[in-house]
Formats: sequence, structure tokens, C-alpha cells
Amino acid sequence: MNTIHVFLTGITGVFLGMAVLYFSIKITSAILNNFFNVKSGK
Amino acid sequence: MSEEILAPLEGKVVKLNISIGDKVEEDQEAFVIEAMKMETEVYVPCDGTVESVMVKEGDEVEEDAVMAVISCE
Amino acid sequence: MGFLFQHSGLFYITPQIAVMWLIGFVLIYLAIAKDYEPLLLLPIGFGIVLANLPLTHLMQPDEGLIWRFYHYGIQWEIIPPLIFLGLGVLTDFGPIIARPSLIFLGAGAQAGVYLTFFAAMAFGFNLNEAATIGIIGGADGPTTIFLASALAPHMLGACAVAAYSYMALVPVIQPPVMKLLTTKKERLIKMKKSRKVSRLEKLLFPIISTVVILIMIPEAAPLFSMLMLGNLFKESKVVERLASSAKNELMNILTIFLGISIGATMNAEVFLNPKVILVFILGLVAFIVSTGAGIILAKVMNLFVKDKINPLIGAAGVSAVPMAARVVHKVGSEEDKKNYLLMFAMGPNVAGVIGTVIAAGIFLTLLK
Repeated sequence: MNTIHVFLTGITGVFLGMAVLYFSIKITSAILNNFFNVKSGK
Repeated sequence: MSEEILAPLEGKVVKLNISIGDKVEEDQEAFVIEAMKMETEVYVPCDGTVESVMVKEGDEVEEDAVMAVISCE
Repeated sequence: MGFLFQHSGLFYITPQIAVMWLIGFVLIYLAIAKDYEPLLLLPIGFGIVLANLPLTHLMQPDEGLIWRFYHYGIQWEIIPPLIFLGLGVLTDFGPIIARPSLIFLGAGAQAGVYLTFFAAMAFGFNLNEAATIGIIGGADGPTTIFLASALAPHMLGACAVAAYSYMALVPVIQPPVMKLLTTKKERLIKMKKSRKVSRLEKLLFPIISTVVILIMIPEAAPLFSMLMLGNLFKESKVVERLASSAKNELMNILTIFLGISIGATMNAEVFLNPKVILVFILGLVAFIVSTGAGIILAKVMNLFVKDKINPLIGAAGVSAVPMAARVVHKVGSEEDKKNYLLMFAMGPNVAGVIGTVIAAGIFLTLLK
């Protein structure tokens, strides 16, 4: 377990985690808006 | 041409500095909203006259609620 | 009389102890006279004084009163997650759901955590210590305490005091960095109003994000699950009693135990060594770099998006909620009073909380 390893895993990990969250939100909103006609308001 | 003053965030109107008919200037302080442990000043968007005021001190407003309408010169 | 005298702590007072008293008094003064994070710094300051009164045995393992608070509350990792329960009730993730790309500003600000980790390693700290010092840059008290208890308990006091002190100083630390890294034109950017978020979306967010994030980073579970449970309490609107208790009574009770316990870990032996000064310096660096990284990421994002982001809100990716958002609003209003950045800044601000928890989870996964 060396410094560079932790450093790189850490930074990519956070961005990856956020990216997954980002897509989860986008997908959920898309499903709600298109299939269930839930008003999201534009 | 009229411009609406919208509440930039949800909170309580703690100060109301304008009334219907007032002549106002851009950047004049119109309202103060209290939320999230701070007071946010809301300013007049243009030079003109106050057409209408929808809130009074003590009212709770939602984000984007219309608080007043200014008729701009 | 002699008996009483023999058992007093009088002969055990050393210069080091007196210095710790002074530090405790200074924190108490800052809390009361300057209003610096008084909810934490007042009990911490007093705890420091208590920890440095000889023979009280308050921190005696298995016996001391305050040791018990510390052991069952912090070592058992109960208090920080429960504080997050209350925080979840207080947090509105609407701004993030409305404009999900702002989530990345919460990630960018974690760059300060990792760069500081790197710097701490360079200064001779070991992996666990460096990680704990780095997480100060996340500007999140409970997460810092949680990580310190797990990885480097001997640094708990120093890191916690550093984190809370710098959080109190956010209005002083951030503006110079913000003005240095942005042009006047950028600071004047007025952002387009975000769409309205439906109640269902706000309800699904805590549930879905918990499943998604915990599958990826199970070690983040104690903090993240409590944060989202609290948020679920809030958004469901059917457990107002629980929500109210979590954000009021529970938070206050926990804060009491947290403050005293942290302060009481700071006895002279542990605190008065040169490494602690490094912790404070590195902690400040962490805050500054996190602020800068968020702003720079916002500027980079502006190259790719149609609705321009005001780069100032990148500074709010530091999870001092809502302090950093308020600072962003204030700096923005200095350029144009009618630029109301507060709600836009709340997006990165709440994303930053998630970001810091993820960063801590990753450290735990790699280092525990």
C-alpha cells in the first residue's frame, strides 16, 4: 500500500462515486418524467 | 415593461423597504429575507415605480415566489 | 489536612500542563467572545482543561467519566454517524437533483484532501496519519472524527480542533482564494434558474444514493447510511417527530458528548509535540487547496456547458454547510448585489458532504 496508490485510487474513486451518483439521478429523473409523467417543472 | 422581484431563496421576510407607488432605483434594498442563519438582501432590479407588493413583513416565502413587481423606465 | 494535601494534584502541575490550560482557555475565549463554532469549541476547550488536571482520572481507561463518553461515543463510532443522522434531516439535496453536474464540484473540492495526504506523507507522517490530516480539507467535523478514531486516534484531538477552527474561519480563508482564481467577469456570471424538483425525486434520492454508494464503497456505510436516513425522515414528511428530534434534541445531546470527549483526549503528552503544528499548517493547506480545486473545476466545466456556472460556487464544494455557500454568496454580491448565488452554491455545498464521506470511505477501504 504505497502513497501513490492511495492517492490515485482516492481521487479516481471520489470522481467515480460521484459519476455513478450523477447518472443515478439523471436516470431516475428521466424515468420519472417520461414514464410516469411526474411533473418536474421546467 | 415590468420586472418581478422573485425570492432568491425560501425564508422569512424580515424587512420590507418599499411600498406601492414608490419611485425606486436599481440596486436599492427592497427586502431582507432570513434563512439558513443569515439575512439575504434582495434588491430592486431596475429604475422605476413599484407597481405591486405581494408580501408583508413576517411572511414566509418560497424560492422564486413573486414578492413585488416594478414598472421599469 | 495532610491526607488531603497528599492526594491533591498540586505537585503534578508541569509547564506543559499549564500550556494546555492556556490552549483550553484560548478556545473557550474564541468560542464565547468571537463566536468561533462555540457549540464545539466551548466543550472542547473545557475538555482540554479537564484532561490536564492531574489525578482526576477523568480519562482513566475503564473508570474515568469522560473516558466512558469517549469510549462508547467515539471509539465505538456511534456519535459521528448519529450526528450525520441529524445533518441529513437538515440537508436539502434539491439543488443537486435539479442540476446533477454540480455534484462534481463536490468531488473536485476533495482534491485538497488527497493533495494534503500527499504532502503529509512527504512530511513524514505514516499513511493512516496522513489520511486523517488530509480529510481535514473536507471541512466536515464528524467525518474527520470518524476517520481519526478508525485510523489515527492519537491525532483525533489535533485534527478535530484544526477542522472546526478552520470551518469557523471559512469567511476569512476562502475569499482571497476565490478572488485570486476568478476574473471579475466570471464572478459576475448570473446562473440560470434550476428546474423545480418534485417531491418524489427528493424522496427517492436518499434511497437510491444509499444503495448505489454503499454497493461501491461499503466502508462509507456508517456515515452515509445515517446521513441518508435522516434525509429520508425529512423528505417522507410522515415522521416529523423523529426528524425534529434528530435535528434538535439528538444533535444537541451528541454535540455535548462529542465536544467534551474530543477535548479530553488532548493531554499534554499527546498534543505538545511539533507534529501538531504541522497538522495545523497542513490542515490550512487542505482547506485552501480544496477551495481552489472546486473553483478550478467549475472553470473547466464552463468550457463544456451551455448554461455557464459561476466559478465562485466551486468554493462551496468544501462541506462547511451552509457557511461556504454564504461566503460564495457574499463574494458574488460584492460584484453585483443582485447576483443571488446562495441557492446555487448550496448544490456543491451538499455534494461536498457526500464527497467527503466517499473520500473517507475510500481511505478506510484502503488503509484499515
